[in-house]
Amino acid sequence: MVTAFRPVTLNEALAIRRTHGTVPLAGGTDLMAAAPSCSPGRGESSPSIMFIGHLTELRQIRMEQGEWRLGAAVTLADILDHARLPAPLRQAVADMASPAIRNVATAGGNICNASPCGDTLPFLYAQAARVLLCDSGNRRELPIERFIIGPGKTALRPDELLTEIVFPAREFVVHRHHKVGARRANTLAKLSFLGLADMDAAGRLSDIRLTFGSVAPTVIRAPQLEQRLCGLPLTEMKHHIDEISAAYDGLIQPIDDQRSTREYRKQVCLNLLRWFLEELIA
Amino acid sequence: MKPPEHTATPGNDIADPVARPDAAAKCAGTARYLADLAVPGMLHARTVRSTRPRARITSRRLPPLPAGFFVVEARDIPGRNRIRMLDDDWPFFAEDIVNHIGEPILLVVGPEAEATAMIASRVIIEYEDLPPILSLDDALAGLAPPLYGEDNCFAEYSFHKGDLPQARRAARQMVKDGFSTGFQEHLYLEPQGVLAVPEAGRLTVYGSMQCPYYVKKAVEQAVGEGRHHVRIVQTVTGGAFGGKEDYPSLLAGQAAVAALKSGRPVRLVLDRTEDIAATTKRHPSRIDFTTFLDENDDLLGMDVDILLDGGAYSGLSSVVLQRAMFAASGVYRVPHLHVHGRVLATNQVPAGAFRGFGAPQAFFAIEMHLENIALRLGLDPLEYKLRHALRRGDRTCTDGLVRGAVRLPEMATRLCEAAGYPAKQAAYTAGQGRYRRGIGLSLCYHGCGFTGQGEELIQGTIALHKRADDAVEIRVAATEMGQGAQTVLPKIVAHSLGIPLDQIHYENPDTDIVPDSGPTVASRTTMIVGGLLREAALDLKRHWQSGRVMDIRRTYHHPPHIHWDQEHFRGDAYPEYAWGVNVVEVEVDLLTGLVRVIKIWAQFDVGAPMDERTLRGQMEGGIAQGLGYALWEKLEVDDGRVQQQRIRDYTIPTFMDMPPVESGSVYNPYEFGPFGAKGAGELTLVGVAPAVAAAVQQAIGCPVDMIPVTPEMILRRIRNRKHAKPDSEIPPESSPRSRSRADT
Repeated sequence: MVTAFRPVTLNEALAIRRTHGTVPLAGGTDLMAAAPSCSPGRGESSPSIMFIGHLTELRQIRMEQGEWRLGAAVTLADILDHARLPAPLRQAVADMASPAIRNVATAGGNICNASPCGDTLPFLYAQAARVLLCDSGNRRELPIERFIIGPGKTALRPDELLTEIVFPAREFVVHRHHKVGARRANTLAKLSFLGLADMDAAGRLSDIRLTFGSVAPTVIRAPQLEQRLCGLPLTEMKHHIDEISAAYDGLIQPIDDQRSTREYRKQVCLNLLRWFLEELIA
Repeated sequence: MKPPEHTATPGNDIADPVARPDAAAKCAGTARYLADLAVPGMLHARTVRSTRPRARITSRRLPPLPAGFFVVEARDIPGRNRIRMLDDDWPFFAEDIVNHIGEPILLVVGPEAEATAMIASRVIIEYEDLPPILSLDDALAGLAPPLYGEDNCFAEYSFHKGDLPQARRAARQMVKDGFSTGFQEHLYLEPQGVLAVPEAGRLTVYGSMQCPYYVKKAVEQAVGEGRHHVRIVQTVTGGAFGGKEDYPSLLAGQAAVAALKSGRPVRLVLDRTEDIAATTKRHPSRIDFTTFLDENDDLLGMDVDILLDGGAYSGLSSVVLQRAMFAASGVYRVPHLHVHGRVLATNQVPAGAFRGFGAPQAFFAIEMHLENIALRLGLDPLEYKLRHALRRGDRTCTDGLVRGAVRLPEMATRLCEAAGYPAKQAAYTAGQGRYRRGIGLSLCYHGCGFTGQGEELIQGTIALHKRADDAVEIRVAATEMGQGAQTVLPKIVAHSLGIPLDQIHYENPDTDIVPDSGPTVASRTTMIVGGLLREAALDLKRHWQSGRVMDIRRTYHHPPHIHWDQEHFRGDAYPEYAWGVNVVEVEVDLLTGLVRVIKIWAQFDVGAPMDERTLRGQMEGGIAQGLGYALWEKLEVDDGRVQQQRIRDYTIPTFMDMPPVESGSVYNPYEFGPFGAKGAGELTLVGVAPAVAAAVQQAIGCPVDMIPVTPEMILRRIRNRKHAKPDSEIPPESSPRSRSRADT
């Protein structure tokens, strides 16, 4: 038997969270797949769950003071349908799962699952997103890279809920997203790459963000390497590609598993990085 | 391209599509699959499985069993603890030795599914490990004690045609090539399951299956011959692809024994992980060629060596090997031929039946080999292949006669025109940039009906029962498993009798009612079973008396001109052949190794289609499964353990992966098939992989000698080429192969 709570308001949900702990379930697409088995009678005793996917407080998409604020229970389908959200985020979402799963899977779920292959994470890291965490009395904000600690591990406290995801409403002139999976839909990433870049009027690189998913316990982003490229005239860039590539080679430490190999993951990351930088020059 | 002229036959409208009788319930979700069935007093069974590839069981420790729970193991079997198959080496339950991870050791049975599973998870089996044979390489090295017989070989055969040593001496050129293929999982949507119901003196087993009479014989052997009346009833079957040819026999025997032990109905349903990890797979293969060309570069002789990985038990491996061997020289005339084949035993999940049954492995190899020979000679593969393709009146590899017209040349020519093959073939070799295109072609056949002596041994029998209300019941053991038997067979009977389709009834088979028309396998249902039904229907029509009950039976015998010598593998290995041509265009991203299939063009000669839409289903389904086999369906077994145990890790194609498919059929009736029909179910898968592999090989400019062609393998090949000398790019060049991994 599983005890299930279905609060009517966010406050009620936070109160239940404080008294019962319980596992928050928004879309449930990761939790259901992680259950021992979907077939009847594969019984491990389950902890209680709390449905939060229906809470209207968690389903808003708003722009405030130049920042996007996504409710944690906004579904992937909601993101796809919202034409003003940044293109790289919507593209990452379009490459996720299948329409049926996107109808229930949520933005907050993809973060709280803290999978190395979470498909929205490279975008959120690239945009220096923050998450809003609430308990029944307090709220705090954490940068995404401090919220996600490792595979399946987050800084979420037992009495907290992730309620909002916040990132600057900042568009980049150049954006390239590649999800590399075993097939074109309903697949987990073997690796993913997101490159964002802006140029100034003088033909210099004014901003660049480079993130890699599925190739380390958490998303790889190295702002110090990005800084080395910023301000470079594009005409100079080709002299730096080998050096940048070598630096990322050291950072990208993927594993062998049933989906792919360490060797493949690393090579494709570096191939895509190099391609992105070469495309900027061209 | 429009399917050509089969509508040109006078009065032949049998091909016009009709509504599938099974479609509405399946689409609405009201079809009742095995897991939907529950009967009063039913118990649930859960399997405790081996966690070791090869070991002696030293102890079995059960947790305390609550009232009403019990276990079933080898010593509970009243009959023989061996599944009835070709060679009875496969136990229902392991006795003292386990031979693969996932092998059933015992069942925990009880009134609640969840509690049953909980108890099963607490059973402790202790083992003393034995030296395992974990791969074909291990089996070839022969370091561990044999698993089967003295030579660890489930089957070994060879046959000759012509005089190969003489061809070797006369040859101007010799070409060597080697290929390998990986496991393939059926991944039918409905996992395997059975429900055994004991009644006084009688035992009924319901189940998702292809072969009710195989199951009946297996259950009889388990419960003891003659002790119970055994009845088997097929339930709505959610896909099978060969995977429910062999394994349901094991499950049915286990559930039957549990039902007898408790006197209660027992249901045994596998979950997906169990099904992937423990049920049969397509045999991995290694196939090597040494081919001799004459002064005109024509095929003079060929020496083929086929090695299959049979897994832990022999199952159907010997016949799978035979079908692979009879496809070894493909659709080609090879005057001097020697084919040698072996299936070796390994401590891995048993290999078994899978759509194509040995032929997909063989056709991948022979088609790539011919492609490579042509390229090496600087010739167009299409032209070179057609130059050697069998024609009516030619002799097959076993010296059988090609009796029917072979329409491969026109099929291939038309298809290649539609696909723009010649121009693309020439242009893509010199591809530039990140995305490279390639185009590939394959020719194949599929022998319709059982291999060799099979049909004569089985002597399939069908019955038609005319009721007093003049409705006609089809009584056959053939099962609907999604392929369309319940659409096609009633059409054959209705058209033969000249009565409306809704007057024909065809229920899921129940062995108390239907005779043994043979298993639903080997592309035999339409041609053999349908052929018998047509004969019976014509007979019924001649004697038709309205209002009277009438029964007619027919038993299959080969047409008199078919001769087969099983001892020497000589003569007509099949009564007839269906033919296929595939052209595949791909685009490879050199940065990621990802292959996008741009389009597939396919033409099939299935004699005559019995239902255009059902045939389209077979064509598109076979092509999808063939694409999966070629590109995506990687199943690795490491240290005896299946690595991709979940549906998310075993990647069959989605709609997003499917390219446009332009497929059609040519009309080429078989005299002894109903309305000219031959087989269609397996043919559509058989030729896909080599066309894909040839296309990828062209796109990347490196040899593709194994499937699945994963992005990992593609990037490795490209990188290795950069470090190699330029002239070593040209196939054939065998790469090192190790273990059973498909992407090494």
